[in-house]
Amino acid sequence: VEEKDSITAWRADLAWYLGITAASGLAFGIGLGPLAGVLAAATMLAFTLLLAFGRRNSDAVRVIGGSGDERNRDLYTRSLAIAGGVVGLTVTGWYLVTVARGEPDSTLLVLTLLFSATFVGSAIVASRTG
Amino acid sequence: MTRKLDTVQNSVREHRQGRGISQAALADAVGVSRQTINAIETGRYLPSLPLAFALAGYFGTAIEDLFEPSEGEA
Repeated sequence: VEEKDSITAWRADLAWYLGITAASGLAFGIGLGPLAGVLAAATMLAFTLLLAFGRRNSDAVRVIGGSGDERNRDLYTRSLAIAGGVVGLTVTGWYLVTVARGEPDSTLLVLTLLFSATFVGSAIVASRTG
Repeated sequence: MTRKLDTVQNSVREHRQGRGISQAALADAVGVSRQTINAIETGRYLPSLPLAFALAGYFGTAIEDLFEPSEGEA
């Protein structure tokens, strides 16, 4: 059952990464031209292929991809929490700098509120279901 | 001096070597990676209860014979 769940989860991840690949190619293609679009899509596709084929042999790739056994998923969650924390603090700090300069950045404000709401919401859900 | 109560020692390596099997073979038997078995043996990773039970079941021993809570000093 666990292996089937793992495969199902991996297929969902693969669909997600391929979606990002297509979106990246499209966005860069529209905004910066066909060559930029192809390069962006190729970069994301290479990353996707690395996760798809490297996860069989590399512990680190399994952690990056969030696949593998319980330890891999635990390390993936911890790594994601660290990355999210760094981004959240950076965006919040950056927003406060713009406030201190007298030119509050609305985009950074939205990102700060999004981070805060997502974190608090996730914590509430996790405390009820975890 | 403070007491650290969340330390758990295990004898997975002793049991595995007693059976004469490799980390990879044990990993295959309980459905995890070789790196995870190594991390458990070296105390870098505390397994979940299902995995701890799987290891105890594989060695045919009680879980408390495989994992023992201990009071460390920090």
